[in-house]
Parts: sequence; structure tokens; C-alpha cells
Amino acid sequence: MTLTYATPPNPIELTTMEYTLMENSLFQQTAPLYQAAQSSSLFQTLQSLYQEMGFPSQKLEAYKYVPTTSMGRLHTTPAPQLETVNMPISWQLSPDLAQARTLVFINGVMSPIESTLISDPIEGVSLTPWKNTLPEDGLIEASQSSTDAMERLSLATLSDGLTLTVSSDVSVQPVIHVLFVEQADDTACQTTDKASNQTSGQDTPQQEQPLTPPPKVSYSAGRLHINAQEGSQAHVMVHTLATTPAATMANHSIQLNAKSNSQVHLTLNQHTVSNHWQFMAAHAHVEEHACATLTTLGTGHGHNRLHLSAHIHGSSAHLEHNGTTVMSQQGRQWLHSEIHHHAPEATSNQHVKALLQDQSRHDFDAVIVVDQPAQLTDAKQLNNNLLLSDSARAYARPQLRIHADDVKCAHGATVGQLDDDALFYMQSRGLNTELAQCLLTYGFASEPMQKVASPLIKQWTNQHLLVALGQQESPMGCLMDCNTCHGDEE
Amino acid sequence: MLTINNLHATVDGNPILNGINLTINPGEIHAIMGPNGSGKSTLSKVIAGHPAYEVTQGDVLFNGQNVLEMEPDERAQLGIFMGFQYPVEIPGVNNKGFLKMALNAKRKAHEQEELNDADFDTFLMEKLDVVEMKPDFLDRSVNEGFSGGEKKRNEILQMAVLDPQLAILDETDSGLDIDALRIVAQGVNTLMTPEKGLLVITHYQRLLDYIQPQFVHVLAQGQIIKSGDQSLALKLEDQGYDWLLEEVGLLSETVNENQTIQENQNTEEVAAV
Repeated sequence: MTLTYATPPNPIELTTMEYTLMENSLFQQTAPLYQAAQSSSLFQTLQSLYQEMGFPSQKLEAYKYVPTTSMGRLHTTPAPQLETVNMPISWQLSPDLAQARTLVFINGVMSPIESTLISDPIEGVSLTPWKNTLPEDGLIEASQSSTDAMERLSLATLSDGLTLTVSSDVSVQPVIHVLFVEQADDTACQTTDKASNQTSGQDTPQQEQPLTPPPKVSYSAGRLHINAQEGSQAHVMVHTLATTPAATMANHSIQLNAKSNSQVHLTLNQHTVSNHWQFMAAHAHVEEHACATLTTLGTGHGHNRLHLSAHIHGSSAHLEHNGTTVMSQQGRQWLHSEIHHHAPEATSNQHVKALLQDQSRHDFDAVIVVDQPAQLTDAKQLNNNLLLSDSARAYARPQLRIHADDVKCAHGATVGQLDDDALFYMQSRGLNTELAQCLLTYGFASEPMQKVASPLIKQWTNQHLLVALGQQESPMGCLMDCNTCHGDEE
Repeated sequence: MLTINNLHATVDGNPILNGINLTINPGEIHAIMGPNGSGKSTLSKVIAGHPAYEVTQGDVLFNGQNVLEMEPDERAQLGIFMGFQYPVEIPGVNNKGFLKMALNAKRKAHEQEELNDADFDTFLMEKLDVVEMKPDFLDRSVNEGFSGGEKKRNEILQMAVLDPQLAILDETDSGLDIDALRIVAQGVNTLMTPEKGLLVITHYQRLLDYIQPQFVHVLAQGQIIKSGDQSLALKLEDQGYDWLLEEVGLLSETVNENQTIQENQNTEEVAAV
């Protein structure tokens, strides 16, 4: 649906989402970051770049199953700027994670009080808050090169941003734990599931619903740039979560630049609840002989869209993406991914698994692009889906676009249920039906997580996975310990 | 220990077992041989409790208890173990953790204290020696990426850990090279004690050179058509099954069935033309 704003500053057609955005002053005044940096010209440029593309429509292949029309009825309001988190965050799941250095973004704004990486810096790791020095060209370039409208919106509405740089030849030992915490004002935003109810089950493209008074949703946008300089190594775990039951929409982005011979391991844990919308754009630029691994874990029962865009610019570079999604209730996860090989003799491997319960949905829309100069590329792409309910749905669209003539590329997808033979096999070893099912689901979901290089992150993600599977009290912990031991040996 | 009386079973409504009678006493090793499709694997799965098979008649008693009403895990905890012809791969489930869970499930069922990590490690290292497996197999996912021989050794490792009273090994020798066959057979022999029983299903006499049965049974068309000692296996190796099928009057039925199938195919082909 499109509306014409009564007295717009520019005579442009607006979707309902834009209408509510403007009504809520997200666009009528400069975004918090640009206010702080007094850079209204940059804001106007980024706003224009967003408006060139406009709010995403389900006519776009990348948003085909995202109920963007009903998203427009979400009445967004800027999230409050807070300095502290109002509840214990789930790093307490693993006391060992206290060893990690944290960078905490609350509603998209980096909190120096909650961030131990500020108070206890790591040698060879520098931080550049954007409130001090805005990377103007970088942001415009990022917006211009982005094919994702939500990311352009994120760039135009940034609450805060930060550049983290690992110096050349530095191997960072402590895990860097980045938290994007959504902490809405409960009194300003609705705490019921109305926002979720209004948008769930409306995945059919082009479906329109009568316009109803929009519920209030707290909106924030933060951005993190990770620059791993030549020969450096680092483990970064990014974790997104909401600490209040109020409805929130997060629209964050991460850009990872892996310079030559660097090794960066980025783990992205996204947890959403029923009235939580989360958009995350993750970009990776990988140079020659560099290795970037991305591990994604999406859990919960909210709405979660990950836009992954990886560009392999250097020869003999490697990009690895292993992902697991565990969704329940009316949860939705959309993964839109593009892995682009620009240079020869590089490799990439993408393996994404989704375990879907209740009425949850997973959309895997991924493409590997191999340019003509990228000869001798070796790229693999696989999506496995396990449906645990008759009402769960998986949409898989693995795609290859190959312009080179001497490459090895494989892609595929499976959708299935628990294997009866595997269940019988485990039962014949004395495990009861319930335990055998737990073991099979755990085994399915945990496989991508077992490739995490850091034992600490592996332990945490396994623990988080058990919670998502509702198996934290099960003997599966025994498997986790063993798997973690395996990681230790690595 | 195990008494099978007039066992009939079907899968998807098709009769596979047509009146099996078999008794295995403690200390006995029985071998079952037979042509392809005779029901050997079905018999092992029915005893272990595979849900795809429906028992239509007869009973299976294990130490006097009718196991047909029991779930597969209950049968396992009673002491019945089945070594699979095609062990299932379970990605993401660590082999060692799986063994520990299986052992502790059994110990729990027998009201024994579960083993902690340290005690289990000590226990497991002894069992690894039985099948000459390297410890690094324990850190891999169950059967995933294992060769055929490694999978079969892993089956015997599970048997060693669970220490069943009755083991049924379904074509454990298939896919094994000469050395692996010897190692697996030696492992099985090491685990056999006078209190235990063993049922070996195989196509080939060579396994029985290592695991020497007191009784050899021939299964055809869902029935045991002949029983004897190990000399029967030698004769089958030498002469095949036709003489025996002819002796019991099944060869003509088999030939007639094959002819009927061929005739039907010819009719369909003609009709298609």
C-alpha cells in the first residue's frame, strides 16, 4: 500500500512504514548519531540514498516472504538512549564468558559503562567511536553499495556506530563479546503481542490488510565495523537480544574487513521474542589469503532477518558460513545471502540448518556468484531443514550464478523430518523415545556450531542452543562437554 | 534365554516371517544363513523391536518375559543388543557422549549409579582395546564419515560398552576386509561368556571361521528350513542353497514365482508396445 504524505518535505510517495517513520520523527529530525556529530549533511545524503531505493516491498525477491506490508503498520518510535542494562544479560549462562571483553550497544548506542573493552582495553585493539570521528565516506559508500533497503534505512537512522581495529600481526586472545541490547521503554511501547499478531501469518506476497491504528514499536539502529589488519587474528561474538517484553525493532549492521592473511571468526547469535523484529546486515570483505568464518545462531519466536553479503576479493582466501536456526511458535527467520567470488582460487563453504517447531518458518534465499576472473573457485552451499511440526514451513532457494568456466560449485537443500531409522538405532541402544528425539534434534542443530574455533564461544553457543531446544536439563550437556573438549583439542 | 515360538511378521501388510521357531540358551552361538530376501534381517529387527514390522502371530520370550509388547529401549535394557547391517550416521552427536548416554541409561534402568566422566573414560579405554579402535574415533560424530569397517567396529564397541546378554549381529561381516573381519570377530569372541548368547546373521562361511557357532540355521521364505552344525555352513558355501530349497520343495515355488514375474513383465512390455 502507498500513501501520499499530506505535506511532505519532498513530493515522494511513501509506504505506510515510511509514513509512520516520518510521523514518529525518525526522518523529520536528524538521527541521534548525526545529531551528536553535527553532521546533518551526511544524514541528508544517507536519507536520499535510502529514498532512492525506498521501503522494501514483497515484490522484491529478497523480501518475498517478509510481511513488509504489515510491517508498515508498526508505529515506530525512537528507542530511548540509556547507559545501563536493566537486567542480567544471558552471558551469565556461562560464567566463563566473563573472561571476554564486552562492547555493549543499548538501543544501538554504545554504552561505555557496560563495555569492559573500554575500561579494560586489549593491546593491539583500537576503538573509534563515531561520535568523535564519523567515517563519512565509508557510510556513504556502504549505503551506495548496499542492495538492502533496510540497511540503507539503518545507515540513515543510526543511533551510534563504532570501528574496532585489530592491528597488523596481532592475535587477540580474549574473545570480544559484542551485545546489541534492545531495551524499550515499557511505558511508551506496548508489551502485548499485538505487534506480533498483526504481522504473523501474513507471508503471502501482495497481501493487504485493512489499516488499523499502529502499535508502538521501539526502533534503534547501530553499526559496528571490524577491521582485521594484515596477519591479525580475532574471535568476535555478537549477540542480539531484548531485555524487556516491549515491542522493539532493531536494524543493526556489521561490516567485517579481513585484510590479507588475517583470520577473523565472527559468531552471530540472534535471539528474538514474539514482538521483537530484528534486521541485521552483515558484510564481509575478504582479501588474499585471509580466512573469515561466520557462525550464525538464530533462536526464539520473533521475526529475524539476516542479510549476509560476503565479497571475496583476494586469491586463496576462504569464507566459511555455518548457521543454525531454531524457531518456535510463530517465529520467522529470513536469511538472504550473497557470497560473491571476485578473485581466483578462493574457497567458500556455506552450511545452514533450520530446525522448525510449531508454526515457525525459515526462508533460505542464498546465491553464490562467481565472476569471470574467479577461476578455480571452490564453493559449496547447503541448506538442511528439519520440520518438527506439520505446520512448520521451510523455503529453500539455493542458487549459483557462475561466469567463470573452471570452477567447482555445489549447492543443495533438503527438507525432512526426524529419521525413523536413526530413532530406532538410538532406542536399540537403550535411549527412550524422548531422549532419542532430543539427541537427534540436538545433533542436527549443533553440527554447525561444533565448527566454532573458540572453545569458549563453542561452549556458550552450545549452551544457548540447549536452552533454545528446551533441553538444558537433559543429559545432552554430556554431549556438549564432550564436544567442547573436542574443541579444546583443536 | 531366548525362545521364539511360531513367529509371523509383516511389513506394510506383506508377510516376511512365516512361523519362526528358535531357542538360544546361555553360552550358545547360533548362525542364521539364507538367500537374499529370506527374512534374516527382519528377524533381527523384530526381536529388537523395529516399529515398521508388525508381529501377527507368535511370541518372543527373553528370560521368560514376552518382549513383543516392549519398546526397543526396554528390550535393550533387558540385555538384547542388535548390531546393524547398516549402522546409522548421526551427525552432530559425539560418539563418546552417545556411548556414555547409552551406558548410563542402562545403569539407570538397573538402578545403578551413573558413571561420571573420569570413571567412564577409564571404562571406555579398556573397551577400545577390544576392537582395536583409536581414541580419536570417540571425538567424531556417531558413524559419520566412518568407513564400512569402522562402522562395524563401532557397533562392536557399543556392544562391549553395553555388555548385553544376547547379541544379534546382522551381517556384521559385510564390507569388512580380511583384517577388519578378524578384529571384529576376535572382539565378539572376547565378549562372549558362558552366560551370554549370540545370534550371527551372515551370508558367508568366512565369518564362521572366526566366530564358531554350535548351531547353523537356514532361513528361506520366512521359515527355518534346516538346522545343523557348522558343517551345514560349509556345505552351503560349497553348493549354494538350491539343493536345500529343492529338498524342502521351495525351489519350484521360487522358480514359479520368478517365472510369473517374468511373464507379467513380458505382458506389460507387449501391452506397452
